[in-house]
Amino acid sequence: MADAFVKIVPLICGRCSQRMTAQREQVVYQCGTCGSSWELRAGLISARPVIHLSGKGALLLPFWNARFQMTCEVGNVVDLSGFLPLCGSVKQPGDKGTQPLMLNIPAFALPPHQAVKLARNMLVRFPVFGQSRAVDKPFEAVTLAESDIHTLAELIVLSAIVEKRRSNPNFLTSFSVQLYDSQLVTIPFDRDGNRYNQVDLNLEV
Amino acid sequence: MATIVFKCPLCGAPFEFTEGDHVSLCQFCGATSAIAGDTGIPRLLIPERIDLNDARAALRKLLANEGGSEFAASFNFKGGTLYFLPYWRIHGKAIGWQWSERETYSEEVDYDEKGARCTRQVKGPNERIFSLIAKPLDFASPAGDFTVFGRVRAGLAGSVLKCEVMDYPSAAARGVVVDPLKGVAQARQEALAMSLESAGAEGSIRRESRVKISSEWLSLLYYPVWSLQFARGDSMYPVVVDAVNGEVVKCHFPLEKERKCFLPLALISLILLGWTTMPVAGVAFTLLAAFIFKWQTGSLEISDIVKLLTGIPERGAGVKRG
Repeated sequence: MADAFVKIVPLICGRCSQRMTAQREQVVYQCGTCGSSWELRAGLISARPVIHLSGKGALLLPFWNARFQMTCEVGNVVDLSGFLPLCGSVKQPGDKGTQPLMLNIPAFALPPHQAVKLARNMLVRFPVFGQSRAVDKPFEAVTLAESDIHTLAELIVLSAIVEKRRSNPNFLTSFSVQLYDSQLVTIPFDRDGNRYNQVDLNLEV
Repeated sequence: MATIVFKCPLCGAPFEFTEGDHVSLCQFCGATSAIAGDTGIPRLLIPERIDLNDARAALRKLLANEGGSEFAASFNFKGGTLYFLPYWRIHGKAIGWQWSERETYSEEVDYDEKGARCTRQVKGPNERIFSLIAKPLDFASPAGDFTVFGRVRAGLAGSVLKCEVMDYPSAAARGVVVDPLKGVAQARQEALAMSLESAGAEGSIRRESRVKISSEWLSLLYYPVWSLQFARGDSMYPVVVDAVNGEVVKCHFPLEKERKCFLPLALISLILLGWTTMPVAGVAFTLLAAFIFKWQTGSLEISDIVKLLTGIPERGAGVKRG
């Protein structure tokens, strides 16, 4: 067992040395002065790069973006051409068929059911974003730690595979998801009262 | 959720975190700080609120209330030790899926040759249900077999009382810090099993599930109890007293009174003397003896009278906890 070790770390920006403020459940801290992002890693404040994706919308919502591959009784599924038939989709991926599978897991405060629904919709629509030129723009608080995304990732992928998951328990027991190259990105949304809209993807949550 | 008291790294003032929080604000200097939770398992401690004398007094009071002051005074205090018992606390979310299959039946109405109506149950296709599990998890479990200490409500207390960060040298100087025997993996399994139990798949003929803990806040919480030793004659009586609220958690003091030989002999002699001199005196002395029996034993049952006359020590449930 690890040693007893509780460390309280003052949130001070590593770039401009200003005090940072954060909400109770926040795991990535953004400096209000210089806009840089930080997180706790092994008890130290370390820089967390954030990539801002381009699109329509004024509000930047943070997502954990990761490449994934899936293992199940049919073998390894690594690209869209293998994944879409499992989802029962008749949509043809076309030249995107060989693209790696990408997950966008909401990193902001959202009930788990809604987070799964939003991420599933983004998964089956396989959007392609450009990178925004904006740097260090303020974004919504990140409350989901990178270490917790794997648990949600399995649920999101399973939620897209409707028929197999319902009818075939062997599929479920052999099912697993491996994540690679996770990074924190922000996707622009518009706020409409209590709802978030993404016009380009026709998404609402 | 437990509230944990630290010292602010900037101003040194008491600084409170609620279990599960990543960040908190110092009320004195206004600095925001984060708790480094990925460098080990935080060991927390609920400090003892009562000392050895208070623990002994709590036990004496219980004995006096339930067995009388004479009964309480018959036990001699032999010493006591403070123990810090470890409990696993897991706070987070249980996230995963559950698949279950259950049989379905429907009622079919039929009519026989005579036109009488009858119903029968017909087995339908099995129902298969896939459900998402996303539940808050707040779990506390002893990190060992502490049945010898009785049922200490540490989990509940940990949610209500303020905890401190464990200062091992200080705690070890005050008492015995018990090492956890149960590993964290087993505690996690228990927590997940509990969340699955409440997920509801009753009546299913097959069930598959995979649940993991997300946003986990894991800690080892030490709870203080006093272990006291009392003696009567050659017998030792262990007692466990909750060192936070002074409740006697575990004890067993049997009721046992030794009779003096003089009283039975005197009563028998009195009755015999009365009946051998004259019947009226016999009746009077018998009534007097009955009154003394009643005063001594509290009843006039034959078994109690026999015990009193033969000098057999009286045993009973006495005072028992846990």
